[in-house]
Amino acid sequence: MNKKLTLAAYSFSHFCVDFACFYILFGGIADPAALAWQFLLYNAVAFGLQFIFGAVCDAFPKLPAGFVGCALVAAAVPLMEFRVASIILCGVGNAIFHVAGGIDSLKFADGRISRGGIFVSAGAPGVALGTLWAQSGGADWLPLTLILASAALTLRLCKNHLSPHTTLAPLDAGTKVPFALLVLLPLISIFVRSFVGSILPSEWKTGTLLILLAAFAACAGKALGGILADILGARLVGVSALVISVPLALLGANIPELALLGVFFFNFTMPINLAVVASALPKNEGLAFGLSTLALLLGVAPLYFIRVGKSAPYLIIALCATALAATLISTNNKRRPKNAPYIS
Amino acid sequence: MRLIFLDVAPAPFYLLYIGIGLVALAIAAALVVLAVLLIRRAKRNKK
Repeated sequence: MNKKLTLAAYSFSHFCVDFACFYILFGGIADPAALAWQFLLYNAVAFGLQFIFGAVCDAFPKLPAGFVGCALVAAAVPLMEFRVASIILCGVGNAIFHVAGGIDSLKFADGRISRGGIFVSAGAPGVALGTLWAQSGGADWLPLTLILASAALTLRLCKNHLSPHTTLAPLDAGTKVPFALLVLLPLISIFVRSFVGSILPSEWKTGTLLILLAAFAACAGKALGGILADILGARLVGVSALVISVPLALLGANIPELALLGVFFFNFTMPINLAVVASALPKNEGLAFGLSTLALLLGVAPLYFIRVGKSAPYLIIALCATALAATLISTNNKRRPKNAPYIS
Repeated sequence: MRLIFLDVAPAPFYLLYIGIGLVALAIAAALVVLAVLLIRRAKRNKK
């Protein structure tokens, strides 16, 4: 099995799945109040159920989860008139697909963080472009074509079980803290970054170009964060990126260049935290990936119920300090240069 | 911080809106408990 080919297939499919899901979510809806609860429903299903599907896929590694996920999303596109059914179907499909891609990106990582970063990075452009396609009244042939191509690719190329002859280095991004802390600390960091990411000043996001640039900054940040973590050490990269990103994001409320840089650095830590959770739960890659998305959901869900007022800058700084401390304590600084042994 | 549903809920439906919030909280708590159980199971299997 060609590991690079499966990563490319899953990353492309990740883009397509998120494109189709956000096309469904934003397609043909005019009432913002309805959109708010439908968005919450989608997030709850797509992010909240991944750890359950992940545990199932870990127990039954031969399940063609990537294909099943794509097929469910494809089935949801023609059902868009039945909003709730369509949203639940695409949410479940999205969750199953993400678990399959997450397992591939962690199981075949061969000890490197960059693979997970590259897989997760592909979603942000799919979300932005799918939303824009729906809001501009685009037809459903494009999401359908993309998702059917993804279904074919994942069915043909992607097998999530290891052959008995394969030997791969395990992910080893965690420190020697007790097991519970090794799982909990990176999840706290993800929870905090999810919450903070939703309350960061966004006045600068005016117009299509800036929304697209923000998505591509997030994408580049996740991918480069993983790559740099392998080269320079995960703790150094994760902590530095958080320290750099917070002032940029706060000062860039009305300055898009600064804000985009803030978004870029803010996303560096995502693959690093994911790798630490996966290091704590070897042979449970689906569960590890799903736990990280549960933390993302729990981080964003309170904002459907509470409104953060003018204390936000202080709250953001305090919470980011918490995420920073969690990353610092839970993450080791081993470097993983390409085709070379790990360096402690 | 303010509770959004106290802004948007029409007066007679406060309880309903608060109920929705409580249900969401209960679902979140159930998911966290299930996650803890699965983590413990994964830890046992590792040994």
